[in-house]
Amino acid sequence: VKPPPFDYEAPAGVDEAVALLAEHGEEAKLLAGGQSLIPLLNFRLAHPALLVDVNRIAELDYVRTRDGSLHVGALTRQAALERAPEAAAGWPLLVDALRFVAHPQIRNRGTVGGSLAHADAAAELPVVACALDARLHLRSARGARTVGSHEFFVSHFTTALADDEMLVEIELPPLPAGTGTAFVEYSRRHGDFALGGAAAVVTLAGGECRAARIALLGAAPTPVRAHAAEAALRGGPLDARTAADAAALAVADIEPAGDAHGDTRYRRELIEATVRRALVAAGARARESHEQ
Amino acid sequence: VPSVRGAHDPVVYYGCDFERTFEALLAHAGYDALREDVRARQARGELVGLGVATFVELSDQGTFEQARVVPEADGTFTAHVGIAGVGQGVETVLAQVAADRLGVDIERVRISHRDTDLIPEGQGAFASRATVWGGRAIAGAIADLGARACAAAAERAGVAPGEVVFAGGVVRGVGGEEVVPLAELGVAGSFRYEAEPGPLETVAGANLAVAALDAETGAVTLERYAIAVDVGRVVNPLTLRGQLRGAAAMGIGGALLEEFSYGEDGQPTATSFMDYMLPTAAEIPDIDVLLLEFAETVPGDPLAGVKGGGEGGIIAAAATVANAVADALGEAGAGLTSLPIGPATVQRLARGAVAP
Repeated sequence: VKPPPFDYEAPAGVDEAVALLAEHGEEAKLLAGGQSLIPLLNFRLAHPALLVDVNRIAELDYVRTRDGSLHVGALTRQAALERAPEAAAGWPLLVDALRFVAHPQIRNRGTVGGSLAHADAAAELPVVACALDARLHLRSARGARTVGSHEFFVSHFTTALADDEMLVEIELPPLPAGTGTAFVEYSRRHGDFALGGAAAVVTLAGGECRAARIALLGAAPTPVRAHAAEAALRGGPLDARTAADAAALAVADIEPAGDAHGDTRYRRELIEATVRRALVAAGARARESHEQ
Repeated sequence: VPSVRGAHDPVVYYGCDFERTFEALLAHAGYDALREDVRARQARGELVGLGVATFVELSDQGTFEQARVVPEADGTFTAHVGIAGVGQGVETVLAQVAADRLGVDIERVRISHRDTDLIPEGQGAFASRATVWGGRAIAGAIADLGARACAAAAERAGVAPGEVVFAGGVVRGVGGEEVVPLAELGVAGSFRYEAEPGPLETVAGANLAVAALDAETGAVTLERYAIAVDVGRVVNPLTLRGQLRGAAAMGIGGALLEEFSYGEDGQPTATSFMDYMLPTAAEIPDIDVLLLEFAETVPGDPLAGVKGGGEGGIIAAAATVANAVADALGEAGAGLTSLPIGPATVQRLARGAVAP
């Protein structure tokens, strides 16, 4: 199927882009890598009056560290972030998770900002953003503001972005020494959206878990932080038993929707297993970081 | 050989050696060691299983196939045939048959199967018949071409028909010399191969799989997959192995992934290839193919025992995978009653199979 008719603008800068959004509001849709929007258009599930193609906004394509934080321009291709030495050095969770994002061809085109702003409940980057306490920098003709990952994701395909706003940068704070991270998911075919998954970020010191962040994929219409499980881990050892206990706690209150691939019970048990495996792997990496 | 009553009444399993075919697979795959290894892993609590399944295929179905072989002025031969190419490589395989029967290099043979102006009838590519039936028709048409060319050349040269032969794509005299250039004779060979009443040829085969299950995600990983099939005589091992592997991929997809699913309200939920899950290369293990050539030559068979092979990879795939998964699940494997075997089913049955 061909998309419904639309007008097209390709601004060269953020100011121009947000001016178009201010003018057209909800009638306009930003086109970045197009890996979700183009199929939605072709299936005629989306019918914006105007496409604002941001692919020429070179100022939004960067990966750099500043004051210890990682700053990723919204237009950065997923493949570029996957291969960025800054990401591998300080935020390897990004690299681990990006390898699960569809296929290399799609990551070559798909953007980091596009995936976050699209907010698919089964996508990897929103989960990683929550696990890493990302700060999302938004711009509009009205000005700039920053929201935390915990308030950015609102529901299925719904974020805190207003109709006239665009996501311009993702900022990730530094991870403390002794931190290990891991991402685990399961999909029926390589590159498919996962049926469930988890990202874990744990900081160990002296055999004790100082901090833990756990974000669940596929548990709800948005990524879910497992705060109770995180609290249970803090101040104790991280081993197979505590990881299993925390995983059970992490899924105690979730009610993942079932579909043809698995019902709620299947998905809850799946997510529980991914949490446990992610915690064990993250713990092992945290210990490795101590030995180095 | 047993027979059953069915559409071909009765079916006689002609030219199959089931036991020898199955034994060949087990020997090839190293079954005894594999069985021992899987048992040892099961004893350690691993959800791993070994499955085998055998199959029999009627490869001889249809009522006719026809061909016309035309010598061209440039020294090439065009074989028009009613078989359809569907990506299985039938152009290559039938060109081999034609080149072999003509006694010329394969570069001098062209297969034409697309145009009903040139070859009006054909039954098509199904039931693993394209090579067998197309080949028989082409072989017959080349025999007819030889007879016509010899008769025409003998008449032109004023010699007895017995004093010329058709060999290497040339009509030759007793000393091997070319009598008359073939293209000048204006002859072509035609043949309509029709099924004789009698037993259908059957193909025997067997598959083996080792499957490892993840009790928590429900994932099924095929660690090993092997196919043995007795095709009588292999025309082209490369295309046949390719066809068998492709067929096995479809069979494995059907066993583990592909499903027309419906919601409780009856709405189809697998309406695109995002949800109707064809396997990709990442889901398919290396498929070990053992080609066997056990079958006896059928008397009068112009292809000397070539049998169908195209479906040999798919027929037993679902049963083989299901048997391996059931073996991994132990007694809980009895609960495996439908396909595809999705992750939720594996997770549910594995709950009963794993000690808490």
